[in-house]
Parts: sequence; structure tokens; C-alpha cells
Amino acid sequence: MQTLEYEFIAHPRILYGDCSLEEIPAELAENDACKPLVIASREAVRRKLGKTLIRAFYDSGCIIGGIYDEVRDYAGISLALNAAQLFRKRGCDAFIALGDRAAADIARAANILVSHKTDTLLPFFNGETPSRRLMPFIFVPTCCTGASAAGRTLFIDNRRLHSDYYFPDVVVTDRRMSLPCSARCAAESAILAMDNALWSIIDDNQSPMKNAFAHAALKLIGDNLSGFLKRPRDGKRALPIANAGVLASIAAANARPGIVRVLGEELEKETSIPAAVFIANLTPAALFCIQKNESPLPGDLLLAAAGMDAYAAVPTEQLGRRGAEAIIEMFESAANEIPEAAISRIPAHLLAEACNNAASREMVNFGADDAMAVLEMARQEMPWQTHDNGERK
Amino acid sequence: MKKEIIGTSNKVLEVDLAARRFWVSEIPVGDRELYLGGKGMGLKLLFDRLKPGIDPLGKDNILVLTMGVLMGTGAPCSGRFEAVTKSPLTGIMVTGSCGGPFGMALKTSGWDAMVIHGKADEPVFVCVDSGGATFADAAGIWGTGTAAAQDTLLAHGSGAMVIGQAGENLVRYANIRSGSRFLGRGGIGTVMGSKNLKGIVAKGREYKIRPADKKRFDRANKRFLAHINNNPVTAGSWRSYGTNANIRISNAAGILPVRNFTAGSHGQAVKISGETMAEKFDTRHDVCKPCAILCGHRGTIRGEKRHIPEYETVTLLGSNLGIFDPEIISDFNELCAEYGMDTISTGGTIAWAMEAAEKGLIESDLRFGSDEGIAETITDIAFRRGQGAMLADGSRMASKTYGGEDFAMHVKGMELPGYDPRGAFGQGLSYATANRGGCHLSAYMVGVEAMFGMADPHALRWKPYMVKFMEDIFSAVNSLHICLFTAFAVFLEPPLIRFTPTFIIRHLNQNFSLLALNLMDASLWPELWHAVVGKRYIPYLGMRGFYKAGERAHVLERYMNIREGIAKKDDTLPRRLLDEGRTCDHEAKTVPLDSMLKTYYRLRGYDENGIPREKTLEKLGIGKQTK
Amino acid sequence: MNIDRYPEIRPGKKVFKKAYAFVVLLVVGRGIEAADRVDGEVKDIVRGLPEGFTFSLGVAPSGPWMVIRKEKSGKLRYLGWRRFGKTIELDMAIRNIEAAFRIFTFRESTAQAHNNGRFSVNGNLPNALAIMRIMDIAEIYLLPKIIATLAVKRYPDRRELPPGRKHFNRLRIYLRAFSPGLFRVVYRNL
Repeated sequence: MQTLEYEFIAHPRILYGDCSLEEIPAELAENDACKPLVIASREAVRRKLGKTLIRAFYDSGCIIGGIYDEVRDYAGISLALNAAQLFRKRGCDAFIALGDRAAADIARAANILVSHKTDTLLPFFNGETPSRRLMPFIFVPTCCTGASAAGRTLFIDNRRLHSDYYFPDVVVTDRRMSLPCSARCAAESAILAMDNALWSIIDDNQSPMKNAFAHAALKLIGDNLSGFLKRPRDGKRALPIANAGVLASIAAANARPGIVRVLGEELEKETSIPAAVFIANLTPAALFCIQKNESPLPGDLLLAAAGMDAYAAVPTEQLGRRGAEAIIEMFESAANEIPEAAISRIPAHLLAEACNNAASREMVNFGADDAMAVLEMARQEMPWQTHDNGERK
Repeated sequence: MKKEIIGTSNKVLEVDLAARRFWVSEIPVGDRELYLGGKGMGLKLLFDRLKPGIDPLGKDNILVLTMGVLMGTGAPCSGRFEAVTKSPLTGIMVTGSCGGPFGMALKTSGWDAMVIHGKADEPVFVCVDSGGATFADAAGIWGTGTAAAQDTLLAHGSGAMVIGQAGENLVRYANIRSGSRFLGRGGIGTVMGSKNLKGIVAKGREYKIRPADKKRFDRANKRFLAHINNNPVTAGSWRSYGTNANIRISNAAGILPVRNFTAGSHGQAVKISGETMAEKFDTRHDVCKPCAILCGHRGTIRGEKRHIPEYETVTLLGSNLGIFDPEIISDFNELCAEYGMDTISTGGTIAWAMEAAEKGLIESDLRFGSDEGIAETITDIAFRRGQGAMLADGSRMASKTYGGEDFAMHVKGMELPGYDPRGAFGQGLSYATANRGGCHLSAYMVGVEAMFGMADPHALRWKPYMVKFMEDIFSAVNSLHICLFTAFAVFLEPPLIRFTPTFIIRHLNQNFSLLALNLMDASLWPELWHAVVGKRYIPYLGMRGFYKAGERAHVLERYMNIREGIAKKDDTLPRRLLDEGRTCDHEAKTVPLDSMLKTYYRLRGYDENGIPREKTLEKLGIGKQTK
Repeated sequence: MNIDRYPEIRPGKKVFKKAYAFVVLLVVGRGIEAADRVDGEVKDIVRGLPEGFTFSLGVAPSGPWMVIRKEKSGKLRYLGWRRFGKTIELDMAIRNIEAAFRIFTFRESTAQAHNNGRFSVNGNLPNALAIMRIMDIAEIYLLPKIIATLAVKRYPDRRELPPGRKHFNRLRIYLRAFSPGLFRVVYRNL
């Protein structure tokens, strides 16, 4: 009998569905906390989500130590230091991040500062990992890319720190909170979730638990994506996508970062264009490169996106190819909401720099040449994007 | 007897460093009409030659040097030349204006512009005379500072421009020295370094430049000179104290950058003011030629004759680092001058490093308020040693690697100069939309808002229009090419402005800006241009045409930047200016950029993503040629 | 940093929802007590509970609550809404007032609410399930069918609970629930 050895960590408790926001005080109580500091993105507060969160605390017996709403799109140490200062002065005992990735990262960073009673993250930047459990941390993702930040990575000041301690204790996806602000935002959320799920499945470290999470995420996205993109403000569609984002990010936290994600992030750094734009452009190319290298794609898992009927109708030998096609179709439908045709407009020397930076990132298993090959491929027409008669799909 | 050029020679000297050869091309008459000269012409020459998307430090980058039509005619403050290239600091177009003798030497060698292609295999310098260019081995001066290199090159001509060690080591904000003046911003010196070009020297004094209509030129020139000599800025405070006369004003207006833009004024600012320095260092004039403003000064500092640091240097290497000792600032200035580094970007990057060190993002002993380690850091940057290697790429690159993007004070990669826009919102918009990045000379809105009180610094009404208007004017002035400081005299001296009380001007500017700005009489500039090139002159239309030429140059530059990937996402300000209030303000203020940007785009004829519309390009005559 | 810009927030109260939950718990509590005296199935379940067994059901963290005890006589007795001074062996709490309001407005059945993790139970789980069954039966009697189908896991068919018996028991339960005993409980808890 084959023995399968794997590690899988899914620390966060996921609260999902109606009234999940009101569960937060009970979750805090279970973590021996009663006075949280809310780190909120300014956008979330502008959309009055802060007030909704406060209402969820009515009759809870908890006091909110304050809503630190200075977070915009960048997570920097300055904000974390301020948040930590506020946390200490108010005598808080837990963090709630309300917003997107930046809010979660500021909460994580401030959490390290207060939990380790320090005023600098320098030792952590130099490779140290937290030595003790951090304060309870609840993450309430709002629109955009929020849900994909439920993993074990702290991304602050353009540095990535990894530790299992950085997982949120609780992730709350609530219909009132997870509505995207625009169709574009909806598309970006879906792309990031799909990318996390896709590369978790493709990752060479095959863990059934990770695959289960990624598969569930793909299934949720596959079932809801088209409706979600048509009507992004429909809570019934938005909530499963947000949930898929959380599941996918947990799966991705247990896998190596995929080439597309890493390249997308590096290109974002070079150009200030959101990574999701590049991810949507690069995924078909990357999948084609994998197939060209005759690496098998786990089509049975990827076909989750297309549903059981499609899976049943496809011969075994074509599962990989058809799975990839189903995924690409989903990426393309999301990419239609994003107008920029990104890759073609980036100067070549920036692309080369991004490839080098991507290849030098830790934990990646590809070289700069592989990254460049994907970028080159992305500029060309994908062979499988044309039917046999030559018509574009 | 010297040969004569009537108006302009329209001759362009093009050199290829790789092949060590040169050829001559002509500026078409149509282009001269559309782009005037200087900046506008430089951009046009670059636009016709530069492929988009190339590496600014690669062999495909092109450096264009252009002279204005007024240079050599004797018009006051006309001794300036323009350099245009793709910036290694920002990755987009950079234009820089410089005084010093090189421009005059090149122009009087018979060239209106010089275009440098390719990359030399070995370090070289180029000698230019009326016959063309020769290439000389620069191994002997490679690795020397700007002063020594310039002295060596001047043996071959009357004006030189050189780079220092910073340019050779590809510090991304290296500058170029000509005389005691610098082509400061955007790393134009780095481009020279990347081409293994240590310097260019022009023989000069071979041609005499004669205006086509001498009589008319003399008449306009006389009026121009009178305006300069009557204006309280050009003939008063700046003539006496240089640009540092602004320190007190900025401090009072709350726009002085202090400690990496965390505050807008400081109790010790008086110590670095022009008045204090004039008294302490016994300053004398030290200027570009020909100049009537005389803003440059030289004084005795630590027993040596040194150039007095300019306002931007004093603020960025002084108050912004928490240092208020002018002697120490002068030491830093001398170091930057020797190595050939932009003092604004150096100061901005060091301020970022100080804050990053304080916040634990990098390990460094640099601290605000302490001069310890700054001189060593400047040297390390110039030679790309240790931590200097990281800082040599500028605050944007450093913050992308080490974090701290929220307090990296740059726009499009170029560090901000010495005016905090939270005390002047129009300046904030102007920083965000400036084509070359964080630049105060795109539209000097602080002058209107904070210095002369001609607009409410915190009002938003009409600010986008004012910024557009000033950008067009400044682009046109840089295309003449003449010193921007003459704008004070040209705008403020005509009787309508001079005899109208400030509060009325302020009211008109703030509420009827379209009318008020267009009532200003800037006809002197086009008058001078027309007198030199010999065209028919109708005052009103001339002024319109002049503004439009400025607009054309500005939009062309924007269009070239768009090809490099610039869009609305880049027209922004450092997060600190958008999010953080300051303690010096009674009520925390941040720049409300978004609300101004939308109107600005509309006025400019850009789409909502900041890209010039096809119609706009066609209207300005850019569209036809770009197709 | 000026921390006064981020003031401490003391969240308010949902008075109406609490009052509504209070009334529902009062009625259900009295209904359970009455059902124990009327319905055979409830009697059987209660027989399996230990003597003196006291349980509470309410809304965490600050109420309202209902407390019920199995007396020496083997009957359930509704003790009111005060938990102070009573030894609670089984503490069943709906995790928040919003969830309680969903359950008490029958938008979510008790079984579904359990499934959704709305309840936290502190005590013996089999007893908790027994109490849930009793509550379901009490609700079947207390509520009209159209509402009760939403509230309970499975509404009994006509063979299991013939209409005649249902309506007769319902009448008895209502009479018992709103008998003067109600005023006794209210008086004791005030």
C-alpha cells in the first residue's frame, strides 16, 4: 500500500453565511478576548462597513478599542506601528481586520509588535519567525482581493514573511461585507481565487487535503462565476466567491507559490498595475508551457470548474487538456472585465527584471528563463485557443 | 571675423558613440514653428528617433541637447540649454534645463542641437566644433570628480559638460555639470555614464548669433531687462539672497519640508535662510551668463570659496533631514557637486533611509537631526558601496525592495523638491501631473498660492486650470529657451498686474481664473522669439501661439510617456501627502488630488485614464506626425 | 499619532429584538412545562432526564434566558428568566441576539440553527438533544402549522399526531401556559 506523507495546516475557522458577523463576539470570547482593535481599510469605512461591524457587536458585552481606518492599498510599517500604539494605549486584546489584503497585513504586523512587545519588525525581516502565539486575530474580508489574504503570509513593506502564526484565527465571510465595489473588483477577486486554487492543484507537493480545499474553491467559482460577473452586487453569488477565495488561499498557503502569481506580483511591483491583470493574461500561457513540457495536468481536479457532467463526458487521456481549457475559459471571462492588455505595453527590460526578481523569490521552483518563456508565450496566440478550423474561440 | 548665424542655424549634430562617427541633420522649419526650440525641440527630436520601451541605460537610449533661439543673442537669462532623454530614474522622458557655459559654446559652434546615439566601448569624451565632432579617449579622466574632469575638458573648448563618479557608477540620479551649474534631475548624467561618455566639450565662439530683426529685438530686450530690474523678486530678494530667500516664506506658509515631509515648518528654519547665509558667508554673485537676475551666489564657507547651496538643496539636504546648519549642508552640496549627483534626489533618498532606519526597515545609523554618516552615505551612493548601492537607485526602487513606500517621497520615481503641497494644493496637482515626475518647475504653483498670495492655497476651484495654464507657459519658456525665473518679471511687471491690489488679483484668480490668467500679458516672450527668428508678429495671436507651443510640448511629452506605460495610476502623490495630516496645520490637511485630477484631464483633452485623446493630438499637430 | 481620532466604541443594544426574544422564551418555557403535562412523548423524554436536572436556554452573552428544572415529581417546571442562584447542568445558548432573532422569527429551524453553529452547549450533549426534541414538540403545539413547519426539524404527519389530539392538546397547553401560574413565575422573577 502506498503511504502518502504530507503536511497541511488550515488554522482559520471559517464563519460563512447569514449572521456570521454577529458571531465575532462569541469567537472573541472563545479566545479569551473582549476588546478588539479594528484595523479597517478606508474604503471599507467609506462604504459604512465599519458601522455594520459595530452593529454586530450590539448586546455582545464587548467594547471596540477603536477603529483604525488609515489603511489604503499599501501595508507599511508606519501604519502597523501606529496601530500597535493604539492597541496598547487602549488595552485591547484582539485584532479584527476589516478590508482587503492591506488591512489584514497591518493587523498581522501590529499583532506581532504587541505580542512580542517590540517596536520593530527588523528581526522578522531578517528571517526570525514568531516565537509565541499571537493575539487573537479575526479577518473580515470586504470586496476586492480581501479573501485571498487569509493565508499564512504577511506582506508588509514589500516583504513577504511566512509563518503558521500569521493565519487568522477566524475568517468571516458575510454577505453584507463581501460585496465587490465594481465588476472589475469582482473579476480581480475571482482571478486571484482561481489562481490560488489552480496552482495549489498543480503544485508538485500533492496533499489530498490541499487538493480538497482547492477543488472546493474551484467548484464554488465554477458554479458562480458567470452570474457573479454579470451581477457583482448580488450577494448570493458574491458570498460563494469570497468563500472560495478563503479556501483557495488556505490551499495556496500549503503549496509553493505558482509561477503566474509570482510573476504577476513582480510585474505589479514594476508597473503599479494590479497583479490580477497579469495573472489573467499569463495563466493560459503558463498552462500551455506546462503542457508543452509534457508535465501532466491534474485534469480531474481542474474539471471541477466545469462540473460533473463535463468530467464524465471527457475521456481520461484528455482530462488534463480539457481541464486546462475549462480553467482558461474562466480566466478569460473574468479578464473581459479588466480592460488593460497589460503584457504588450510593458518595456522589455522591465519584463526581464520582473523575471529575475520572480526567480530569485524564496520557495519558487522555476528559473528566470521559465518565467520569460511564459511571458513570451503570453504575447503569442495560444494554439489551443483556436479551433481545428482555425477560428478563434 | 566671426561667421554669423541669423536667427537660428537649425543644424543638428548627431553623433554615434559606438561607431565614433557623426552626421548633420536639419531641423525642419515646420518643427521650429511648432516646437520653438529648447525643450519642445528636444522632445520632438527624441520622439522622431527613440523607440518606446527601450532600457534607459541601454545602448538604444538617446540623449538630445538643444539650445534655445535666444541663446547667444544677448537676451538676459538666455544662457541655458536643455537635455532630453529617457530617464533611468523614472523610466519615462526627462527634460532638464541648465545654465553654465556649455550651451553657449555649442550654439556658437554653429549647432542648434546635438543628438547622442549608441554606447562607446571605452570611456570617451566628445569635442565639438563647427566642423563636427571628434572622439577622445577619456580613460585618464574616468573616475575623477566633476571639477577636475571639467578643467581637463576645457582645454579643448570654451564650454564643457561632464559627469562625475556617480554617473560613471550609474547612480540613477547622477547629474551633469556645466560651469558651476548642473543638469540636475532624472539621471541625465547616468545616461551619459551608461554610454561611457565622460563629457562633451564645445569649442564655441566660432559664430555670432544675430537676431533677424535686430531693432525689434533691442526694443523688446530693453523692456524685458527693465521688467527684470524692477521686479522685487528678480531684482530684490533673489538677487540679494538667491533662491534661499524662499526659506522664510516657505516656513511661514507651512510648505517647508521637514523630516521627510512630516512637518511644514520649523523653528530653526531661519538659520538656513538666504538672509542668514548672505550675512554669515559674505556672499557675492556667481551666475550663468548672460544673466540679469543674478540669483547664484558664492561665499566663504569653512575658509573656502564655495557656491551657496540653492533652495532645493538647502531644504532636501537640510530641513528635510532635520539639519539646520548651513555649513554642514554646504559640505553635502559640495560632495554631491563633486560626484555629480542630484541634491534633491540624494536628499529625498537619504530622508527615506533615515525614516526606514527609524522604523526598522533597514539597519542604518542614519537618524533625523544628526549629520553623522550622511557624508559617508553620499560617498557610498556615488560609488555604489554597501548600503549606498541600494540608495543609488533612488527612493522608489529602495522602497520597492525594502518597504516604506508610504513615506518614499517621489512621484513617478523622481523625488519631490522642497515644497510640501499640503500647504498649497495646486502644487500637489502639479507634482502629480508633471511629466518628468516630482518636479516643481512643471508649474510653479507655490509661487501663485503661497508666495504671492494670488490664490487660496487650500482652495480647489480653478486649480486644475491654473496648473494647466502654468504648465503650458513653463513648457513654452523652456522651449525659448530662457530662465524660468524671468516669469516673475514678465507676469508681475506689466501695469495691469503691477497696479492692481493683491486681494483683487487673488479674488479674480480664484473665482474667474479663465479670465484673470488670460489677461496676463506674457507677450514679451513671443516678441523676443519672433524678433530672433524673424517672423511676422501680431501680439495677441503671438501669445496664443506661444501658449499653444508650450501645450504642444507638454502633451507630446505626455504622449511619449504614455508609450512607456504611464497612465492615471502614475499621476499620484506619495501616500503621506494623500493620507497624513501634519502637526503644523491647525486642522489636518491632505491633498485632495482625485477631485482636481479629473478636471485637469478634461481641460488637457486626456481621457479618464490620463491618455491624450486622438482629437487632442490632432489639434496640436502631434497626431498627424505620430501616425 | 493623535489617538483621540480613533475613539473607543461601546456598542449599543438591540432593545426590540431582546424584548421579542424574551417573550418567545417565556412562552416556550411555559409551553414546555405545559407540554410535559399534556403530551405523552414529552413525558417519555423527560422521564429519561435525571431528577433535579436544570437547564437554561437563552441568548449569549447577556440574555434573555429561560430556566427549566425537572422537579422531584418528575415534571418539568419553568423557573423564569433569572439564572442567578441556580445550578445549571445544561446551558444552551444561542450565540448572539441576531441568530436568536432568526430562530425566533422562524427563518431558521432549530435543527438548521444547530447545523449552522448558532448554539453553544455546555453540558451533557444527549440531554441537550432531548431538550431540543421537547422544544420541537412544544413548538408544534404552540405554533400554527404554517409557522411550525419552519421552526421544527420535521412536522409530524396526521398518523403520528392526529388533528383531533393535536388541537385538544394545543388548547390544554395554551390554557396551562397562560394560567395564573404564569403570574406566579413573573412575580418570583421580578
